[in-house]
Amino acid sequence: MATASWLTLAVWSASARAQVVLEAPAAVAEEANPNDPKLPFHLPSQSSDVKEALDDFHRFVAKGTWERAFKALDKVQAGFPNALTPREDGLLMPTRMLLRQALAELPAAGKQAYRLFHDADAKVLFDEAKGKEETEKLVKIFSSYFITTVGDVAADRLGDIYFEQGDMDQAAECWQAVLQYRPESALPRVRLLVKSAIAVARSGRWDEFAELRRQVGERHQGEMVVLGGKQVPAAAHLESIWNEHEAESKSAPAAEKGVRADLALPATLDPAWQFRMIGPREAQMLATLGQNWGWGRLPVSEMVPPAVVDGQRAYVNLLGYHLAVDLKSGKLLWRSAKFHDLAQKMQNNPQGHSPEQFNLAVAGDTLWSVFRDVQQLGQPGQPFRIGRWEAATGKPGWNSSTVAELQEWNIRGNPLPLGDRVIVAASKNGQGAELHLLSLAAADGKLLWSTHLGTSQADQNQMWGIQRSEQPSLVTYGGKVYVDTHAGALVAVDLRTGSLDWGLTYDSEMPDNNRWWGAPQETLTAGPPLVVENKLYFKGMRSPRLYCIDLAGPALVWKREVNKTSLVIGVDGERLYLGGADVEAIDLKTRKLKWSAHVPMATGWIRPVMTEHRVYQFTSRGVYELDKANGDTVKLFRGADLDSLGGTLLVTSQGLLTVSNLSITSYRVDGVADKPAESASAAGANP
Amino acid sequence: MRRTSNLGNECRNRVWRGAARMPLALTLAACLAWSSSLVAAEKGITVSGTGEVLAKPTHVEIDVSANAAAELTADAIQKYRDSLRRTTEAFEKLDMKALKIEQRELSFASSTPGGGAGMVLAVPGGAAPAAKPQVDISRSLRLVLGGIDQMEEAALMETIGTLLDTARDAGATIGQSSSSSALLAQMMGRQAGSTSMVTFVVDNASQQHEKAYQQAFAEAKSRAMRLAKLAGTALGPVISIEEAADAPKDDTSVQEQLITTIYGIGSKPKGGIRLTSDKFGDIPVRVTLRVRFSLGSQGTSSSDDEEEDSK
Repeated sequence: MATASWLTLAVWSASARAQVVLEAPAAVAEEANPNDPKLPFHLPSQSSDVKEALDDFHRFVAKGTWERAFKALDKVQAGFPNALTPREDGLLMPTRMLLRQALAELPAAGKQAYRLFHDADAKVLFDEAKGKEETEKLVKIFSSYFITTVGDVAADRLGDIYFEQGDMDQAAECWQAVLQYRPESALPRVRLLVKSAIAVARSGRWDEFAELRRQVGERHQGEMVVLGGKQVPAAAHLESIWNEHEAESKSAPAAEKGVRADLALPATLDPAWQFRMIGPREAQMLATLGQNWGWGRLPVSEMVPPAVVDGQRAYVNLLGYHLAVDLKSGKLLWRSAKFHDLAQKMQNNPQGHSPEQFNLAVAGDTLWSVFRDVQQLGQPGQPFRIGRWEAATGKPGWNSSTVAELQEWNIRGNPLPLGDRVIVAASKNGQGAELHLLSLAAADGKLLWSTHLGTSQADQNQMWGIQRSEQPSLVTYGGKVYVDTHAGALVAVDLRTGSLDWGLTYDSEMPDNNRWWGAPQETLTAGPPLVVENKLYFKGMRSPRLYCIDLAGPALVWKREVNKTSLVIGVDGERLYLGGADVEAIDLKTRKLKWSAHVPMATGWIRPVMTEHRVYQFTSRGVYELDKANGDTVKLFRGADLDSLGGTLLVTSQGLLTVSNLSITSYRVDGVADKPAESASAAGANP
Repeated sequence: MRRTSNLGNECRNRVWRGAARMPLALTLAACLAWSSSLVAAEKGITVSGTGEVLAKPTHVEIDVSANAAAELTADAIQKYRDSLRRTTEAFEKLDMKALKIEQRELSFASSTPGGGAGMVLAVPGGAAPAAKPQVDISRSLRLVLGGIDQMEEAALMETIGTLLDTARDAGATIGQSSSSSALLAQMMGRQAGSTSMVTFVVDNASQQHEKAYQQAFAEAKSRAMRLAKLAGTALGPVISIEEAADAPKDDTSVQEQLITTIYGIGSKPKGGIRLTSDKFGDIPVRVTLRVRFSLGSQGTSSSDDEEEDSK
């Protein structure tokens, strides 16, 4: 019997080895149509007649009928240039980029014909590109007349303008377009390469810089370029920039390099301190909320409140009650209101809480919160606000209910404070299916820009607190903000202008507003996207797929099947690590599953931690410390919060902080004293 | 000629008369025999005797399973291997000499994550959203901890607690195999009730049964002798013995046995005698016999038996 079983397993194993994980598909039929009704989220896409015109253009180009092709192109150029059009690999790009690419890929005869038709118009625009209209005219040439005789020069000038304005990404795009699509350009190639390299370096895209540096070193050794009015050796100049970057990297603490030292979990269970948010009796009440009504376990029963730390304090947003606790002593420093009767209020009104919509971020001396007024606890339909508090004292600043132009917005997702701005997602009141991205002035909440990101198939306001709604996760990198809607789409938005750079609709289950008696309640996780070495990794809340996008392209590199309950923890160069009910390691080159360790998961509100050699996850049975090499449990630290469901792990200046659905607990951990505390502002506190 | 035919007729008539009388004779004979047996039966007595022996459990069994589920079969296999290795290594690290780990059945199944459609009532648009099917691989393990009859209760509790914690910490599932759990979950819904995690087993079940039989027979005989004495007759030999013992228990729970009985699905009893209980304590072994003794002078008299007993 045993022999038969092993034979069977061997056969399965042999057939399983033949399985191939999904590589980047050449054409993804279900993702190619952005308006497909089967998609749970629709990105703002180009109108159908413009898309048809683009298809006609390609068709006429293939036949060599240039006049008809350019007529079709006129329709495309008349459309909204930033609206998204699907590419073959499933990414949706602004029409202007696809148009430029389509023109650049014309055969020689086509280019010649195009210049015959449009050179004159382009030259007129080029001559008019002066003064206040310079940028506008150059943009028009770059997007519509790039392959004309003045297209390369216009792109070069436009790149210089963007560089001076500090928009490195756009500057690099202009110069690299010339390098890629205008190889015959008379502009010195080495100069374009050097300028592109400098722009991407300033944008933090060091992988691309390394490639450009290599090209200059191999093909243009000894050549000189003029930069800032001075003649400098091209290769040597880039080498000096690289050496400076390397020196900075080596001297930076490991945490700043994104590699944290392993934590020595304490030998004893006694915490340094513990702050109890929910008492045992209240915890019992919350655990059974909604059970009598047949709703199953409600999100509010398993929620772990969002928490962030700075060097001195831990901050928690407990369903709109804000509190700050001293990291050294555990003493409550301030709170926005008394919350002793919170559990009773929740029991009186079990639904409508939407705990996943509350969020926190801390930047400098300011605490940012997405919250709802505690007087409106459990009232479905009431909008969520964004507000700021003084981190040290809890003194409230403005919030979106006090700013006229923000009152119509229901704030969603994690706030992203970036210097003098804060970026956040939102929906308009009464339009819960439409998702927008807002850029607000940090000082007074003034709306700087808003961008429509797309439409969900389900109005998230109609989840009624019975199911976990989709709250976007925002991260910033290289002058862009990447938004995972957790509804089936990821978009890249330019931080400066708010324009949609590109988008991707990914494999995700359709949300269902309906709920039937006794239906099983899913435990879902929602982790933020992760950018490592210019590659973006993400997994949506209801998606059983993990995606990798090369931001240099951008291009979809690969996607892979994973557990729906997984979330991305980190990448260490060779492997990617997922947390959840199964903590897993995936080889980045082969995408094979290297190991998997099943751990108990009683709540989806988890935030694991990755260090140099370990992965830590806070569960209902304690903190698991797993060896990254093979997934074996190095230590299971029970801790002092065993009656909780598990939750968030934060590394602080004082040690290790666990935030569960019941308590905040601090443990002294060797080796973390006086090191920078974890910043949660970039990724969002509510996982 | 007439005289011959008359003679023939007479012979035939005699034959027919004889033949007609045959059934009557047979019937009479049968009645006589039956009535004599009745008389004989009336002379025997039927008594029942119950023997009960309390057996101390000698080992404890805990069923766990190492499970894995993934959309890709290769992933499921990798997860299963890791899960099985970690589970068995975790128990091996405990270094309990009295602990044995038995690998039992391996199962492959297809499932849909999220619990399936649930109970879909007449709600407009109430269909569950589609989910990707997964491959489930599960290996059942049985932990057998022997020598518990030599252990103090407190020590036993601690040891069982350690085993349960080790299983949970290693990511194993405690309880019956996934197929049984799925069956129960399907038939009984979410309110399947708690199922026992630990089974206490008596090793020498056949010896215990033997003792119980002896006790049952002795009791039956004692009753018979008392009755015979009251009747003023002697107790004869045993005419028949009928057992009305409790059905041997198998490993399945009461709920699953009920479902199997009603619907004819689920696992069949494995056969053989096993003494098990989900509670720690002496396990009663009960046997009930119905014994029929004959009465009368042919057997030993009650006074003879009393003399024998006094010796």
